[in-house]
Amino acid sequence: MKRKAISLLLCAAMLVPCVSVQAEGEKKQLKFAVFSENLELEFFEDCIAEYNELQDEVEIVLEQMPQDDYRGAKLATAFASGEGPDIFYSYPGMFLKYASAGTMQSLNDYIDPAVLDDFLEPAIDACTVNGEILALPYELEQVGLYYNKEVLAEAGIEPPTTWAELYDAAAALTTDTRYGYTMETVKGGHQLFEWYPFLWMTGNEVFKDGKLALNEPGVIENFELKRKMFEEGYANINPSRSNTDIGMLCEGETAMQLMGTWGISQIKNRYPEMEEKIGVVPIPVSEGGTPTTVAGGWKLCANANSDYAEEAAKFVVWMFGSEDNSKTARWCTEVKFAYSPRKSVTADHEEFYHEGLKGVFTDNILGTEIPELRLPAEISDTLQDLLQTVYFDTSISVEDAIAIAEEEVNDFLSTYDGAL
Amino acid sequence: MKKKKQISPKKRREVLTAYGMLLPDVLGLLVFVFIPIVYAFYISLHSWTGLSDMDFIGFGNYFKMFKDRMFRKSLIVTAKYAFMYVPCVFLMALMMANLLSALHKKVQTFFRTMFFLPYAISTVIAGIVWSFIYNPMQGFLNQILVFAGIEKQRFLASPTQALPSIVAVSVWLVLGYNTILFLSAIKDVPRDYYESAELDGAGPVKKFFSITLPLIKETTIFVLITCTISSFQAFDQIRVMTEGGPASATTTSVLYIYKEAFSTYEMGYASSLAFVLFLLIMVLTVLQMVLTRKKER
Repeated sequence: MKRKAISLLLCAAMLVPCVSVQAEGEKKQLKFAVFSENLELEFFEDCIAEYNELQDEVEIVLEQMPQDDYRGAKLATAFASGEGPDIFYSYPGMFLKYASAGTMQSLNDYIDPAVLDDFLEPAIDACTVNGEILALPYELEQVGLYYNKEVLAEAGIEPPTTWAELYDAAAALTTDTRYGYTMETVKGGHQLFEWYPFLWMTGNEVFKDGKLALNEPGVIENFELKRKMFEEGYANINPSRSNTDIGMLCEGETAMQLMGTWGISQIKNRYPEMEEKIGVVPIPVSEGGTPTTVAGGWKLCANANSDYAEEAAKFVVWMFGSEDNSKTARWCTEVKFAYSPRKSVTADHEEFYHEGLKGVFTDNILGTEIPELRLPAEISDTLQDLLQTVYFDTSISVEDAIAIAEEEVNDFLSTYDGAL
Repeated sequence: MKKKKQISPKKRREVLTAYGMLLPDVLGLLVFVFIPIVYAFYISLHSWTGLSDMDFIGFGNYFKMFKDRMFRKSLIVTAKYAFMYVPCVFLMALMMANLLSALHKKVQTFFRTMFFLPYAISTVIAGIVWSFIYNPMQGFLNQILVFAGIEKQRFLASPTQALPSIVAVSVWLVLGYNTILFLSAIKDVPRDYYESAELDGAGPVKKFFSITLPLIKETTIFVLITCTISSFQAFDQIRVMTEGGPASATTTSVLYIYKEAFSTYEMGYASSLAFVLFLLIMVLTVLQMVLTRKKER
């Protein structure tokens, strides 16, 4: 009898942690999933601490995961099993899938129209579906061509301004231990992000009359140029890391690197000794083309399926959509270097945006940007396959690769009725 | 009337204990293997992004895969991988086990440990280390090639060399384990058989094909089946070393399924692909077993 009683007691003790009852008066706990590290993580921790201090009923809790998991299996399975975070951030590559599934809470009712006027229109448009603002942008990242001033000077080469000059410079700067030029080689959203400006500067678009239309001379010329650079070994065929890391330029793996605005913060924080040695110019332009860059960046969203969707939406607006723009300002000017989707932040920090390399972006690149496309995952995937084929698979002609992609995307579009 | 068979209380207790012992395993298999397989099939009959409600579409996902160029390509890549990986592991492990069995015990232990070491390394870490070794510009392997007067190779950056390069790493990882399996089997072969064969004038080759190989058949079947299954499941090293590139040259079916599920968010379609792959592996395994048993008879 005594033994039975002890067993029952043990079983009951084991079950206790499984039963969670929210006691009356206890705060609602909202999960905020992030992949940030170092200064970025510190920023979110500070904001959350400040917000929690102001709240009687709500408590925000950070849930950190590696970026690979965030873009991959972990976040997706969390949503699939109904355990998705209450607050999360998204980028154009994942935006439409989440928006179409109704996973993003509309922020229209929570944001002050006067504050909305402070946002750049294209930045808000990129987060809007059928009139509903589903996320708030807090950074605009653009791309330029970074280069090692000393290496180029030693070779007597000026930073390239055209595709032809880019090819010649890459060829001249390639040695046994260094590539001339580095761009993204791994299939994925970032490779697509880096490709858009090269498409747009030729006057072409991804779609024409609702269909994929890449069989254009400018597009083909660009694909062939890059294929040639990879084939001849002037472009880095096997980068040591993702092309979101300026380390390859700073550590001498490459002489020139296509890289976003975030590269400036990386140089400052990780390679301060290189600050004076690195230069940046706009992305080289096609013959007769228009200087163009791409504007991407993450956006903050609230989970519409959360039990606390309203509270999550309020937090999102408090972070980046309230009258007080200090959090957006801190993110874009202290945590990292990025342009702000809020006009007031850019106006308040004019001096900051003109310091050193940032000035090159502000004076020579800002204003040439086009927002990154938010494509359905199926189209994005086909385009990513196309880039891989035209860059690396010489067994198929560029024209044939484009034709295959066009057939697949147009076939998909014929039955697709979602947002674009 | 038939008399009911009587079971003694002792026997009943024994039977109950036996089933009680089996229960955790059966439950584990049920919860972690059989139910997920059935659920995967259920999901495969739906259009589902994982974010919204499931939409029943019958066998729509299964029809879709016939038109899927990239899935066909991934199956070809998987088949190429298997055709390189299985014979390499099988033949090399068998050869090394045979050589080791002839060595002195102490020397044998040394080599056995050396060969087994890679098996103790995580696949991800091995993938990272080999990525450095394979680096086209400053990798160790190219430095050796240059030293030997051979032109630098692109390895993982080449659509034609990437898959064989990954297979080499996969073989390196499991070779020791399979060698030990063969070595234990060879050790179990009675020495008298070899002595009798030697008296009859049989040489090493004759002894290997007439005595060793037939008597280690069970291990041979086991190694062939597990190698085939693992070749169809290759994922970690590929994800770390090439992420399926360049130009999908190393996108095996499992990696493709993963990308469909977690990059394209086509959970329903990915489940149907996974289910087809599961059937494919099952058919191949059964086929292998039937063929090897037939030969045995």
